[in-house]
Amino acid sequence: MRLKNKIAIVTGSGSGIGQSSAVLFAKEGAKVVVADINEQGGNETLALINEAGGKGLFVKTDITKEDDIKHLIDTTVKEFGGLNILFNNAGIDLAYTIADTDEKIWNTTMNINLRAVYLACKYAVPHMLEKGGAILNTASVLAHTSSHKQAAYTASKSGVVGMTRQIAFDYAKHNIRANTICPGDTMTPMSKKFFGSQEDPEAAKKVFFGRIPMGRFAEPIEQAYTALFLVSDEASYVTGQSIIVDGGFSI
Amino acid sequence: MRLQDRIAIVTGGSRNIGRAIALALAKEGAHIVIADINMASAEKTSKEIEALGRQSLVVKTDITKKEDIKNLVAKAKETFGKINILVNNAGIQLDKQRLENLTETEWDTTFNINVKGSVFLSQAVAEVMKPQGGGKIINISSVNAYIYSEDNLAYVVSKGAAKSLTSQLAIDLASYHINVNGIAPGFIETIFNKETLSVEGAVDRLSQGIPMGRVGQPEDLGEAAVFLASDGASYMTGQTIVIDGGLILTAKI
Repeated sequence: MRLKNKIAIVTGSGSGIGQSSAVLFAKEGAKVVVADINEQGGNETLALINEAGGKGLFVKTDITKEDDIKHLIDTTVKEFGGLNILFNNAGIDLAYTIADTDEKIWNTTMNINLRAVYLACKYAVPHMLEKGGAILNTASVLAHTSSHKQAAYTASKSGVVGMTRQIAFDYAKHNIRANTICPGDTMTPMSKKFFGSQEDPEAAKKVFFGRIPMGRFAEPIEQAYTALFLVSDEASYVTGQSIIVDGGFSI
Repeated sequence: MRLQDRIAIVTGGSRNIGRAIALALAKEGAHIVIADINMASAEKTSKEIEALGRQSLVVKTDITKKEDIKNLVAKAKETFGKINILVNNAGIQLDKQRLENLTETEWDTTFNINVKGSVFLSQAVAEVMKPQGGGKIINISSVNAYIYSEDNLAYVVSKGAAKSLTSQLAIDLASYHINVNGIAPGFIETIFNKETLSVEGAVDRLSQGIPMGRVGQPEDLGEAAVFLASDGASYMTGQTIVIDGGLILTAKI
């Protein structure tokens, strides 16, 4: 029970890495608040948590709305009595070069990937000042290496890395740790959908997998286990760090 | 028991960081091969591992000698039949080294222990891990791979080498399902610096420079080693986890 007695929020936990993480945290003893804009996904995650014998709560959250974020934090503290772990995992990836990035793409990317993370941390920190806490923000391997048509996405994720480092620096003495997890390519439902939509899925997989030294995408659970380590007391001396989980892609 | 019946070699596993890592791995079910030149400490740590209900083997090893490396790997295989985890922890930190007074002996000794030993032991262990279908190698580097440290010229450069070794081996061994990662400790209280730390006010002075306000304990590193050695870290490779309470945050990253 590596998260015994902890209260955790996981955003974007209606699917993919967020879902795997929320279920894993619950299995390890945390009370988990599942936050997602997608009600079906959120309830699915909650069902998985209950199936695993864990304790959870679903709070429908649109992270582009400051009031929704405030409500998410307040509800967590009200229902579960506190907040120890904040995992800002929700994100969006709109693929465009800088020249093709119009204002809507830029704003949507920044609102979801960076502004929401800032707001969630802003409202969570006061609840962590007394007893300490762990903040984990999902950035991306692309905060550390390059790919095509990822201008706004990379800007937002690099922003998350820098901001998280500063949060770690400001609040270290309060025992509030903050780190980023930088996933490489992961076989989420979204990725499966992408390959499924290709003319020759197997050929497409060969191309993508061929770029990765480990020769495959990650399973969501492999990102979840790294997240678990970083939010747990096992990482109690780790702060301000950006941990890449990419099968060797960025080296 | 995340490492049930896995076999781990820990170099320099008799004391300080090596000992903490050996015990942490053992607590999660691993059996440990302690490779060290300090036999008295090694036997002591061996008994602690056995008290946890795990098996332990002590092999006297001078990591700078290829014959000793050969013997270590042979003894580990003979006793346990396999090697799942290698922790390249053995290291030396010579003091009062500045460019002006650095000697060839100090340089060679530092690199032979801190880098050459890890390279050739990894070479030998990788050949055991490949037919097994995989394994985990963990290199202990240091925050000194990222920042300046006074009077520690050869040590700092050797730790930079250890960090590069991690990424290099990770790619070379990826297709064999051998994950190679590192741990970079910050300021950790160990036997070597207990004297420094026992000077009145020293801990407070040092702690003030660390954002989390405390020096680290060897146990802080043990948990990271368990994570990196576990199945959960199966997609992580070529990376070094800095464990320093925020120490390097004010340096160029």
